[in-house]
Amino acid sequence: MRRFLLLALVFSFAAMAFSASIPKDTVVIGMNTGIFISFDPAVCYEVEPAIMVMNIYSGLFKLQEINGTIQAVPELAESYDISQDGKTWTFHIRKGVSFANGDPVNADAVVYSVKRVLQLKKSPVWLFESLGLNANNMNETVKKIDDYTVQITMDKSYAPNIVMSIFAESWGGIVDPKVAQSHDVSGDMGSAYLADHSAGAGPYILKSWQRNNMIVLVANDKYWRGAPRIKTIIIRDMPESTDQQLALKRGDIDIAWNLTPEQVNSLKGDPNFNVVSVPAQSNEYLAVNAGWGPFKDVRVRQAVKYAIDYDSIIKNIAGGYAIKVQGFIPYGYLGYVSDMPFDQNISKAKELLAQAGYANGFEVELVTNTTERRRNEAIAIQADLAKIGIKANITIMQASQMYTKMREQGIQMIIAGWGIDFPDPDALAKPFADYRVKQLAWRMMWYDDHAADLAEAAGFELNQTKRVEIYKELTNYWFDNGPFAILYQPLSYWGTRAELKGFDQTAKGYSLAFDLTKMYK
Amino acid sequence: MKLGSYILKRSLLMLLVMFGVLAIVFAIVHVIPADPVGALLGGNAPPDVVERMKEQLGLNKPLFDQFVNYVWGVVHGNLGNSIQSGRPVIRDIEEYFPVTLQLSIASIIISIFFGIFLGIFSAIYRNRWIDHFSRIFSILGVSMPVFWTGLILLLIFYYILGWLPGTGQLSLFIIPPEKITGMILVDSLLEGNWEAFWDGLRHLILPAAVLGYAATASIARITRASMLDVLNQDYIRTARAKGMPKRIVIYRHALKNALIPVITIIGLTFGGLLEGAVLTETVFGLPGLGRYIVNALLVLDYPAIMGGTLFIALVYSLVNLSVDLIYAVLDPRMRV
Amino acid sequence: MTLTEKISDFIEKRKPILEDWKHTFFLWKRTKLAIIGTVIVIVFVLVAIIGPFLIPYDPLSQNMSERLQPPSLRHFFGTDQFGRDIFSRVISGAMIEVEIIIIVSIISGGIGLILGVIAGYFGGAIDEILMRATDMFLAFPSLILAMAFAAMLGPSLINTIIAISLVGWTVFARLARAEAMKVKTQPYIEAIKALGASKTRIISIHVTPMCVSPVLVQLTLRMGTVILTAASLGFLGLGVRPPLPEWGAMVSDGRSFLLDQWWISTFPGIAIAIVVLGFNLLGDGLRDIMDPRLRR
Repeated sequence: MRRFLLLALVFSFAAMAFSASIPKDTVVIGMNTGIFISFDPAVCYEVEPAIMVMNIYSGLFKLQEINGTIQAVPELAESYDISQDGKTWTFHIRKGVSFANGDPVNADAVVYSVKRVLQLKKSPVWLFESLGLNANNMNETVKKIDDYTVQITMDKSYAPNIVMSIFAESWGGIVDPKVAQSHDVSGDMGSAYLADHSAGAGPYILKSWQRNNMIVLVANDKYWRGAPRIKTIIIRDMPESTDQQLALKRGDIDIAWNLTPEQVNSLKGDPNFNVVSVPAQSNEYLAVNAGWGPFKDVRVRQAVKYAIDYDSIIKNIAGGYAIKVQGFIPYGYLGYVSDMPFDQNISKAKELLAQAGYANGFEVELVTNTTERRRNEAIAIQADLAKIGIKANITIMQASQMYTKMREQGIQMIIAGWGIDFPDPDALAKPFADYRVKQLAWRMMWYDDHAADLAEAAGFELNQTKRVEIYKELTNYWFDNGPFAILYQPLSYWGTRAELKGFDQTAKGYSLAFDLTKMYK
Repeated sequence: MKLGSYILKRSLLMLLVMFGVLAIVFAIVHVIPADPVGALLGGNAPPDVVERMKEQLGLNKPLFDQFVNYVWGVVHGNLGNSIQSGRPVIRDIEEYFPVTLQLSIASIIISIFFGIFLGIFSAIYRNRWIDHFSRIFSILGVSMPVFWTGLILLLIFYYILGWLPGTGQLSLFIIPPEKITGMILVDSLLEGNWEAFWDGLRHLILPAAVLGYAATASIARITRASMLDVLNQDYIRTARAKGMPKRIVIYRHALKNALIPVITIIGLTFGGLLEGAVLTETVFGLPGLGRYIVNALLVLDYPAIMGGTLFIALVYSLVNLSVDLIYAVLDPRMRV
Repeated sequence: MTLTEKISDFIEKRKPILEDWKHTFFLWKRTKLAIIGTVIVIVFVLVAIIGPFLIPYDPLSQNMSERLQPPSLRHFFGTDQFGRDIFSRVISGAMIEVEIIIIVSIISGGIGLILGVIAGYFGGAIDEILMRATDMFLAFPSLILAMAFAAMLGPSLINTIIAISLVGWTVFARLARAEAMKVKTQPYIEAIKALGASKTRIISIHVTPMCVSPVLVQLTLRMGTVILTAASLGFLGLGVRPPLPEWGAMVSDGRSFLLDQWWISTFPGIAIAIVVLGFNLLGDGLRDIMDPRLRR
């Protein structure tokens, strides 16, 4: 009797060993979702939830990669006019569009959504505030003209590309006012509800979110551009990259989001898998504190730039998933400078150090965060610097500590990355060159007025050609004097199963654009 | 002393200990030279945005005020809102704890089963090869990093052999049971949802085995020592001399008495399991309290860290209290 | 007395202790597992001390052209993602583990012993306070406490050591306290007190030595746990500074390579397993030997 039961147990286990394969209208993604906070467009700021928000909500504009550059194209704003002084924008809302639940999309919804971001004052609000919109002036600056016309007034005449891009990102998603207000709890404008429910007009609806477990998106059949082909998208939380690799290979997930370069390279050549890679909208850099010790001398800063073996980092640490870029403007952007003045040149670096009086080198603390990639970069650069006599002591900090210390200007040397907030060179030039905006340049104590003036002038230059020239001048000046060494522009990459098609179209423009409607099986 | 006053005394002491735990965590967490807002907003936000958010969250008030507010809240059952999820920490705990509890219970069952088994064998065949082998086997369990064993088992049983499913609690297309206790196995049973039960069980085997294996050693060791103790007692020898078969002697007489100290060890091991769960949940992608606290520590989500740690400390203390109470009921000498 | 007479007198007085040690040694020889454990530990310590002089490669030097090589005659354990020889790194890492173990043991054993003896001997309010303090620390999941300390102090070798020490002392305090309470009631303590010995003298010379042996046994058992805690901290990103070849950090760093380049994680993992096993066997054996009921 006992033996029989044992056998029965074994058989029933074995019978269930054949897991069901994923249906054709469903895509399963394995991703580390530990940092997801909310799907409310007014709150969401991290890259991965933001791209989902962009597919759940529609905004006035949408970002798309066209011929290598990312541009804003009209979405809910069918057309727009800009006033003479360049400050006031009038948007004409597309008629006949409705939210996923049937409510109409109109000027009320647009005005409500923009004001909502300004009032809730969460992470993304500073993007709108950088255009001069805030909770105090919003009744004057954000106005409904009629049922399908909205007028928004900025405080300066910003380049149109900047304005459109800011409205195109996740925080510009239009929220259904009825749903939000009906779930208002103590004035949060439905924020607690919208953290894990959706009220948008985009191609997908957020069906459920069990934190640290699973996110389920279902297709919005009423989407005004037509219902997407993939009906269900399931995102499974898999914090370990090895888990994702195993699951992808066994066919339990269609897309592995967080593989290491070696893991994804092992998929190449296997007809069951595809590797999709696109230039990322970010860069990876090493920065030194221009107000600390030896780095005050520009020659020492240059010495560091000549000590790094950029090719080795790109090949061995990024596994080839990187574009060699040394200016702060990435590939595909206006003003991109393709000069590569820095290659590893140990003798030149040593000479520069000696000239500055540091022939015997010095000790410095190199800070970076806990991800495997950054650790590896730190180890590689430590070895490079050792070759010119600089002893770098690596300190691994959690992101929260690292950014705090950086904002206090307390870091001597750091390896980090900068994600682009909107697809315009200004979003790079200001942080990397203009200390007045209190971003990266300020954090690394590089108080250089010449660079700051150039960055600001370029931000307001309407003539494209002149703008490119200013950026070129700035970049060259920055190469010589700045405290940054750009290591590379990453290529974002994913491992997918071969049955999944169109993912390369979906990912074009990641992380500013991500169109889930383009994939199918 | 009387049982009633013993219970009262222990409970009061436990409250004191909880307060101490709270103070310690609060101190540690606020000494860390970083802030949760910085992590939330990431690298790009300018300092004034960071400052403003700090104001919003009340993080600029003097530490003492923050502590007092917090304790006041705890006494009223309010553990504050997680900075990261924005939800009440209690809700987060309510969601994540059952997973850890299920994992811990399953691991304890496995470790009790194997531990007692191995312990008995070791005691009966003392100093023979079986004894040595089973001791080495059980000690090996506490000798390997849990996250490594987990990954290797996944590699073997999921990837290479395909006998067991991968990470997560349930397969994708199984309908999960309605949430009653939050523990998938229990809820499926209550609902009669056999598919979910079997599927959940299959997902639970590897993580529970990994954790349980780590706990096996202590239980095996105590069982062995305890059995050896009892086996040498006079009344056992009398029973054998009377001609009772060895098996019955062991089951009926020795085992019962030998099991008493095992109960204490189970209480202690439970605490170890709660922390082993931290690593196991990450490797196996289980949405439990361990992972929650680790994430909270990484972004310095103060209320979540304090609430989560306090909760685990509470559970652990309660378990120990219960164990001590069982002892006190069974053995009046223990009521010191 | 002449010198020789003094020496033989010294030995005579300590004869019972020597007999005891002889008996211990005899029992130790009989316990197979304790022998295995001791051998492992001795080999481990020898490797830690002598190893770094015999390794074929510098554990820190990178060689990108040789990265991710499988085990071979040139690289016994293969190479990692920086082309570093894993065999050399494992051997060099032994010393780091020894350092961690020794320092942690001294600190937590020391704190625990002192606090426990004081609490056990003086009793009363001091005892109560200490018991509550140990309760508070024990109520903590120790990994989380270690994480919190490591996060607070910043990840580095020293801070890892401090974090682990601060978490582990409670067990030793409890043990020392129990022993001290037992010793306190012994007649010879009464006698010495009557003779006018100061409290300090009593505690340091008479009580503490009796408490040392159970603490020592427990320390040995815990040495393995120390390595595992350090490894767990490394897994969570809170361990030693790179590029130190600490075993736990090596296992953790190599885990994304587990499928295709398994040797990066596996060899340090095996090293950890063997050494921790050795300590556990040794500790177990020591405890069995010291246990008066089994000393027959």
